[in-house]
Parts: sequence; C-alpha cells; structure tokens
Amino acid sequence: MTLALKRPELASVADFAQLFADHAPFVLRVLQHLGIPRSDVQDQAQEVFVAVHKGLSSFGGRSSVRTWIYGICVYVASNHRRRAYVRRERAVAEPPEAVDLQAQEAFEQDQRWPALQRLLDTLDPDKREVFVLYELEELSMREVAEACGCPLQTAYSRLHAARRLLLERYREQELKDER
Amino acid sequence: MSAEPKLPRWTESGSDAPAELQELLRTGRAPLGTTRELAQLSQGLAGLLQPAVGLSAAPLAAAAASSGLKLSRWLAWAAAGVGGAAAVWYLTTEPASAPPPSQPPAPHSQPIPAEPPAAEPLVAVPVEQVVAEPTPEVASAARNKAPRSAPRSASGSSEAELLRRAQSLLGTNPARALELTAEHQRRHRNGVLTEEREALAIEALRRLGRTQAAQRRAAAFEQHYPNSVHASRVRGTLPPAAP
Repeated sequence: MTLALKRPELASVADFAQLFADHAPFVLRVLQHLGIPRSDVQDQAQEVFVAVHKGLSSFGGRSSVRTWIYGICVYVASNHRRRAYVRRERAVAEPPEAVDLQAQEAFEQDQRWPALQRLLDTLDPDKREVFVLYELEELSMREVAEACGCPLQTAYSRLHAARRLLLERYREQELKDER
Repeated sequence: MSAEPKLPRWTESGSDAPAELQELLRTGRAPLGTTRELAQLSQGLAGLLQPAVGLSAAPLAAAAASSGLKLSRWLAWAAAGVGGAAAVWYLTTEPASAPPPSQPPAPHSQPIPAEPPAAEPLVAVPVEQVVAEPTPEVASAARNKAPRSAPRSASGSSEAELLRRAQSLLGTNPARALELTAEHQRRHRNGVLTEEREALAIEALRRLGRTQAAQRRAAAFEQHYPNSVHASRVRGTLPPAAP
C-alpha cells in the first residue's frame, strides 16, 4: 500500500502504529535484501522506525511514505555496512544470544531465499540497492532514484549493470552445475 | 516532467530473464516477518519511543493485529514484553517528569533528512558538539578503546541494543548505564539514536547524584535539540529558572 499522507496526519501515536503495521514486514524484507545479516535485521529495523518517527516532522509528502521509508532503509543499510568492523568481530565472537527458532525454521524451509541472498551478495551496494528496489520491491525507477538519492539515469545504469552481472553469475553457476 | 520509460521487470511475463532466475526473484517478494519477529520489533520500538511519545503496547498491538498478526499470540507477547518495557520505564523514570507533548517537534529541530534521505547522516549534530564538557566517564571511555579481540555480546554493539541495556539498568546500576551510553557514543558516532542516548546519559548522571554534570549536559541537549521529544524529561534535570 502506498500512502501519500501529509505530515500532520501522521502525527499521532495511532497513526505511527498504523504506519508500523503497514510497513514493518517490507522493512524487514528489504533490509535483508540490502545485505543486513538476519541476526541484525531486528535492530536495524528499529533504527529505521525510530528514524521514521523523528523524520515525520520533516516529511512533506513530496514522495510517498513508502518511497521515503525505502530511502531510510537504504541509508540504514549503508550505515550498517560502514560499520564493517561490527561484522568482522561478530564472525569470531560467540553465537547470537537468542535465536528465534520458530523464525529460523520458517526461514530455512525455503532454500531459495538464501540462494537469492547469495546472488544479491555478488552485487556492489549501489547496484544492489537499485536492483532490489526495482525488481523485488517494484518501485518505479523514479522512486528508486529518489530512495537511493541518485539521478534517474544513474539508477537506470546501475540496474542494467546489475542485470548484466547477475546473468553472468547465473550462467557461471549453470556451467558449474552441468560439469 | 517526461514520462518514465517502461522497463519490464525480470519477473514479468515476456522477460528475457531465465525462468529459474525469475522464480528466485519471486521468492524475494514474499512477505517477511513472523508474528514473533514483528512483535519483537514493536516491543523494542515501544521501549525506545514510548517514553518520548507515550507509545505503548495498545496502539501497536491494534495495528499489528489489523495487519494480520494473530491476536492471541500478539497479546501474549505484548503482556510479557511491551507492557513490561513500559512498566520498567515508568518505574525508573522521575515521577515528576511530565510526559512530553504528543505533538511532534518543529521541523527545523529534526536531524532526519527530508525525503528522500540524502547522503547526510540521519543525526547531523555529532555528540561531540552537543556535549561541551564530557563527563570523566565519557571522556575516559572514549579514550580507552576496547581491544578488538575483547569478547562481547553479538548483539551488544547495535545502537538499539546498547540503549535498551542502558535503559534497563538506569534504576539498578546507573553507573553501568552511563558506561553503556559512552560505549554507544564511541561506537555509533553518527547513529540515529543520539538523542535517546543523551537523554539516558543525563538521567544516569542525575541518578548518580552528579547534578552539575547532568545539568551541563542537559543544557547542551536543550540547545541542540530544543524541540526533541525528550526535551521535557531532560528539562526536569535543569535548575529552575530564576524568578
């Protein structure tokens, strides 16, 4: 659902709660598509919604609420990548404190999901953002450019490059499977 | 404005993408977030935002239920989690602190960029500028970087988790809560929760009896975030205005 509400209509707690309900599932999804490890998705999603809450006051409705939130997801994911040392330390640290077994089971039932993530991992962040928002989240290219903070033509270039790279990876994998 | 040229998506019929690749991409469109994950997320948010805006379990629960969550499971989580978080906050917060206004702050005070977000950090004012005179603990912690090999919690480095731990310790161990805010300051210099961190640090200082340090930091907070949703609570730390 795409909302195009002006800021005052989103001021109340009830509206924020509705906004949360409308958008939380896709925020969780897109953060993973953007490369956030599953163990970090909850915390990063919290940061997205705190940013949404703070930013409501400056949201003027020039884009849809959804496009705006996608942009925040892109920013939070980018910020997470910059804290690369966090992930490096995590790789050798103790296992996660609490594992949501139910969620983990549901997640692992479909092996295609991790396969998709591995494929997306082969893209650099700029191309990945554009590809994910266009092909998986089905934003228009203009919305993709807004969310990524780049010119429209740049967004197109990144999408074409991402497609080309993914096709190459896919064919390489096919060749390996045939051997 | 020129019309946007139509570029068929890979998953659309007639796309030249291989069928297997199309199928893989369709997998990625499935809704994500189990009932439990969404409940955990809303629980964490209520813990972070509730003190500021009065957000509680009820509206999030209702909204979550309307979005398709199973109500019975939600209520179990809400009772155990969000309600508990709200109770912890109220039990550990100055009773005299009036609840902050539910009206949103003025736009100019907010560091979150207008849509679409640009490359600017969400919190534009570095904390180093906010805190004119770092407390000894903060300064010391900032100088003494933790060794990279030091063991730590896997979730302990995230912004939200650090501040949740700090908040939970405010009542029982404000010194440790203050240390955690210093750790947050060190690790997440341009994080999105710096306002929340500063509000927690001020409250921790007040509970430690370090009134002057709390007041200095509160004054800096007021100056940089005059319309923060945490302003009224922080304002309670400041000395009363002279008649």
